[in-house]
Amino acid sequence: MRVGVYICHCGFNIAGFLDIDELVRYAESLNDVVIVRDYRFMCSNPGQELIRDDIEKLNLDRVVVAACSPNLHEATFRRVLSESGLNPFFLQIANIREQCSWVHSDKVKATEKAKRIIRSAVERVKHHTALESKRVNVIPRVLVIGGGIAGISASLLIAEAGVEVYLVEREPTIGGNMAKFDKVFPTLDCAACILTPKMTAVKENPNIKLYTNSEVVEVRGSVGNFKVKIRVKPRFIDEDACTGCMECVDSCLYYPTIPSKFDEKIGFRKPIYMPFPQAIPNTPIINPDECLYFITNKCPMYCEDVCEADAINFEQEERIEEVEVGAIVIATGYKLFDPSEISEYGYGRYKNVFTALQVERMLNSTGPTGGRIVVNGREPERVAIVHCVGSRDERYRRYCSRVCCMYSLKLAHLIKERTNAEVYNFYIDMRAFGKGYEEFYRSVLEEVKVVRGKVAEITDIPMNDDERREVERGRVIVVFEDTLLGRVERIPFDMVILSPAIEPSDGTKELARILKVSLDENGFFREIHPKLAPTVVAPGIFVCGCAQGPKDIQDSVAQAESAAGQALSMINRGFVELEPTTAYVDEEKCSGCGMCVPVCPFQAIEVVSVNGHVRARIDESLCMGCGVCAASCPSRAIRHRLFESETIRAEILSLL
Amino acid sequence: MVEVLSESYQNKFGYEGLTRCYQCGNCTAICPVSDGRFPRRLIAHLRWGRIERFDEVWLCLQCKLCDEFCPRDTNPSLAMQTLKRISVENGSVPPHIGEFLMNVYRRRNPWGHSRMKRGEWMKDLNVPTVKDCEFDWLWFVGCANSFDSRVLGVTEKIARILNELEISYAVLGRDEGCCGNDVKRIGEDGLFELLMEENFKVFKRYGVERIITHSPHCYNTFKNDYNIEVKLFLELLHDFINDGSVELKHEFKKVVTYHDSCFLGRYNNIYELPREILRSVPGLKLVEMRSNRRTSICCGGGAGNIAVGYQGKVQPSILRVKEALDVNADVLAVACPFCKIMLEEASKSVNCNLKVLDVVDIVYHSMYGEGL
Ligand SMILES: Cc1cc2nc3c(=O)[nH]c(=O)nc-3n(C[C@H](O)[C@H](O)[C@H](O)COP(=O)(O)OP(=O)(O)OC[C@H]3O[C@@H](n4cnc5c(N)ncnc54)[C@H](O)[C@@H]3O)c2cc1C
Ligand code: SF4
Ligand code: SF4
Repeated sequence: MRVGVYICHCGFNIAGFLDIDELVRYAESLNDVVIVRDYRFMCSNPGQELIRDDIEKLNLDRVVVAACSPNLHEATFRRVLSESGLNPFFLQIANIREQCSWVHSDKVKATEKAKRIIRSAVERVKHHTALESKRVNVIPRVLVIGGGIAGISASLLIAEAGVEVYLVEREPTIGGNMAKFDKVFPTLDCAACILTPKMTAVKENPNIKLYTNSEVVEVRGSVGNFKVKIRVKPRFIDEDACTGCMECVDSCLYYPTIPSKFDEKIGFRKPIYMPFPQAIPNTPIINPDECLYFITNKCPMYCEDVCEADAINFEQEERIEEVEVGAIVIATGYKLFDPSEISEYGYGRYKNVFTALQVERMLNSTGPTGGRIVVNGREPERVAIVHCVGSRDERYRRYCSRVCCMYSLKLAHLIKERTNAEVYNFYIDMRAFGKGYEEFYRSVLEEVKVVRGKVAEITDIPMNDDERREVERGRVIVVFEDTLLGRVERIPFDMVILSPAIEPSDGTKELARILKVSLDENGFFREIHPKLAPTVVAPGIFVCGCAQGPKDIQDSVAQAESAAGQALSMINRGFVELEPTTAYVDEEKCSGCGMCVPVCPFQAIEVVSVNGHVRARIDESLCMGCGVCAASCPSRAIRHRLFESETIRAEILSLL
Repeated sequence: MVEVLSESYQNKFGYEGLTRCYQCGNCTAICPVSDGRFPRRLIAHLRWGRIERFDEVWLCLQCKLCDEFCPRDTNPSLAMQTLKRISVENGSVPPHIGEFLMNVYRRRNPWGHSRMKRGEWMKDLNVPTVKDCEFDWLWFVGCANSFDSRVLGVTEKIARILNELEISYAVLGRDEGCCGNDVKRIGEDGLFELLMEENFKVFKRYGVERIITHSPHCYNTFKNDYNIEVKLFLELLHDFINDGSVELKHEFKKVVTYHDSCFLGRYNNIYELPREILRSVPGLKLVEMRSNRRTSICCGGGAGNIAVGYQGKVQPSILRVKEALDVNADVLAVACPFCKIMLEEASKSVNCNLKVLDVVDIVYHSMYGEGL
C-alpha cells in the first residue's frame, strides 16, 4: 500500500507547539508511508494541490491528513481525493490540533502524542474500504415550528419562492412575543404596523398551510425525507366560516375573569376569546376547560345563536395530521424567566412590581389598559426599571439576555412619553450594541435617570417614619448602591419593572427529543458551528430567532431568512448525499432477536422476515451511523462500514 | 494611603471568583454595616492589587449576608477575609481586634480571663470531666459559655439536661482551649493553626471522637475546618423532643421571634431546626422578623467583635432589636451565646421590654417550669 501523510502547521496553532520536523521524520519511518509533507495551511488551495499532485504522480492509494478536527475539513479533503480519482473514504484525519496542540502544556510530550495519533491514523486508513455515497431526493416542502416573527419571516421567504410550507404554532394565533409590543426599539416604529401585514401575508399565501393551536408530536426519517405528525387541537370554531365579527365573544354570558396569557395575566378574558384584535387566524377560540357548556353541559349557548356564519361547532375533535417534508425550521422563540424565583424582588408579592412584558401589554393601545400606565388605579409618579433580572447571575441564568438593556430603555422612553413620571433605569453594564442603538441610548439619557448599580432588594418594610409614610401611600422601597457615587440609597417607587432573562420556550426539551437534536448548556437549540453555520442544527434541521439564543427582532429576522435560505438551497438542489458510513446487518449471523431495534435513536431498524427467517434490517437512509446497534448486538451481526472491527483493532493496537 | 500589592500577593491571596465581580453593588446595598461603598470598592481594589483605606475592611462581620445576594458567586465575605489576612500579615490590625487576638493567644479566650478559671462554672454542679470517666461525647463548652456571666445560666441548664437524659459525656474543664473560629474569620491563620493543633492534641490525649457543642461558632469550625464529628446540642434536644424523652409540659405564653445565628444559618444551612423546637413549646407563638433565614442580619458579635464590642457606626444588634419590636415580639430567641450577649446589650440600650432568651432557656422552662 502507498500512504501519503500531510502534516498541517495551521499557522501557529500546531507548528507553534508541536515539533513538525520531528513529526515528519517519524511519519517517514512508518510502514507503507511513501511520502510525508508539511505545509502552512493544508486546507488552502496550494495545500490541496500538494495532495492532488502526489496522488497522481506517486500513485498514492491512502491519505492521512494530520491537522484540525475532522468536523472542520474532512469534507474538504475527501473532495480532494475524489477529484484525484481516489475513493474519498481512503482518507483519515489525524486530529493533532483540538486533541493535541491546543490542549496540552508540555511540548515534548505533546509531540510524542501527536506521533501516536498519526501512527494510528496510518494503520487505520489501510483498512478502509471503498464506499459510495448515496443520493436521496429532497421532498420539496418545509415544516416551520413556531409562528413568531422568526417563523413568520422564514415561512414567507420560503413560500414566496414557490415552496410549500407547513407552519405549526402552539398558540391560537401567530405573532409570538412581538405581537404584544406597542413600539419596537431602536426606531420606535409601531410593532403592529410592521408585524400585522406579515401575519396577514401568511394567511393569504396559498403556499403556506397554517396550523394554530397545534403541536408537532412525532418526527421520523432524516434529511430530505421527514415524516411529521401534527396534533391539531380543536378551536370549536370553524376558521373558514368565521368572519371574525366577535359577536360570539360579546354574547358569552361568562364575566371576563380569566387571566389572559397573551396579556401576561394583567388582562382578563372569557372562555371564548380572541387573544388580540389582529390575531391570525382572525377567529376566536373556545377553551373547553373553562367553557360552561363543556364543564356543566348547562349553558344557553348564546354564542351559537348569534353566529350568523354558523361557525361554532362544539363537536370539533382533536386530530393528527401527517405531512412529509424535506427540511425543518425551528422558530420556537422564548419565554421570560420567572422573577418570583428572586424572592428579594417581591414579584408576585407586591402589586407594584411588574415584568417588562406586562408593561409592554399596558403600553399597547389594544392592551388591557388601552395604552395607559396604571398602578393601583393611578398613574405612577416614580418608576424603576431593573435590568439584568436573573441574567448574568450565577444563581439563575448565567448568560446575558442581550435585548433587555434596549427594551428597558425603550420602556423608559415610552413611559416618559405617556406619563409625568420620573423614571430610573438600574443597570450593571449598558449593552447597546446594534446599529442605531447607541444613538437611541444617548437620546434616552436625556429624559431618564440612569443609575449604575444592581437593585439588591425591593421591600415594603420601612426603616423610618419617612419611609413608613411612603409605604402607606402604596409605594415600595428600592434598595441599591449607586456604584458611581459609592452611596447606598433607599428610594420609594410607585412602580417597579423587572427586565427578566430570556429563556427557551416551554417544551423546548421535548421538541429537541422529538427532533433528536441537542440543546446548548442554557437550553437553547445548539447550532453546529457558532460562526460558520449559525442556523444549522442538524442535516436538514435549521433554527432561527430566540430558539437559538436571546436576540432582537432584526437578528431574528436575519436568522430566519438564513434558515429559509438553507432550506431552499437544499430543495433547489433536489437531492442530498447520504453518508455511506452506516451500519449494516450480516444476515448470516443475525438471530433476529431484535435487541437493536429499541436502541436505535433514529428508528432505522426493523425486524423483518427474510426467506422465512426473522432478521434485522437497517434502513440506511435513516441510519446516522452512530453505531449503538453494533455495540448492542449479541451475535456481532451488525457492523459499521467505517468502523469494522479490524479497522478499530488496527487503530487501537497502533496506539498501545 | 495606597498600597500596591505585588502579583505574588495576588497569587497568595486571590481566589477563584474574585475576577467574576462586576461591581454591581448588591453586596454594598445589602450589607447592614456598609458605609456606602464597602465592601464593593474594596473588592475592586483587591482585584487590581491596590488597596486604599485598608482599615475599612474591619467593618466586616463575616456574616456572609452579601454572599447570599451576590449574583456572581464572588463571595464578598471571602474577599474581606482575604483583605484581613493581608492586614494581619502586615501587622496592621485595629486595637479592638488586636486585643481580641492577644487575649486568645495568651489566655485562649476573647476576654482574657484566666485559663485556670475555665472550669469554674461547674464547681457546684455534677459535671463529669474527661479525666474521671469514660464518655461517648465530648461536650465542648466554648469560651462564652465557660466565662461570660450573661450566658452561664444557659451552660448550667445544658448540664442539667445532659445529666437527666443520661448522655454519656464529659467536659475538658481547664484543658479546654479556644476553637479558633473567629480567629480564622479575622484572617489570623497562624494563630488558628496553632489553636487547632493544640485542640487536636488534647482530643487525642483523652480519646475524643465526637463532640457536642452549643456554640454555633465552635460547631462551624469543628465541622468545616477541623472536619471532626460534631453535633449541636440543639440537634440532640430536637431528637429527644421528637422521641418523647424530653417532655415540654409547661406553657410559654409569649410571642417569640427567632434570630438566626450566621454560623448556624448561612454557614451551615440550619434554619428550621431551632424553629421546629420553638414551635413544639406549648403556648409559644412564633413570628418572623423582616429579615429572617438566609437574609437574616448579624448580631455584630462575629469576627472578633465580641471582646470589645462592634466599633462601626451602625450597630447591627440595635437594628435587629428594632426588627423584633416591629413584629411585636415579647421574646427574641437566639441559639448562640454571642448573639445573646450582643442582643441583650442592645435591648437594654434601647430601653425596651424585649427579652433575649436562648432556645435552651425556653425549652428548659417548658421542661421544668422554672429557670426564667
Ligand atoms: C419585554 C421585551 C421587549 C422587547 N422589545 C423589543 C424591541 O423593541 N425590538 C426588538 O428588536 N426586539 C425586542 N424584543 C425581542 C423580541 O421579542 C424577539 O427578538 C422576538 O420576539 C423573537 O422572535 P421569535 O420568533 O424568535 O420568538 P417568539 O416571538 O417567542 O415566537 C415564538 C413562537 O413560537 C411558538 N412556539 C413555542 N414553542 C412552540 C412549539 N413547541 N410548537 C409550536 N409553536 C411553538 C410560540 O407560541 C411563539 O408564537 C423584546 C423582548 C422582550 C422580552
Ligand atoms: S461582590 Fe458580588 S455583589 Fe458585590 S459588587 Fe461584586 S458582583 Fe456585585
Ligand atoms: S460579610 Fe456581612 S458584614 Fe461583611 S461585608 Fe458581607 S454583609 Fe457586610
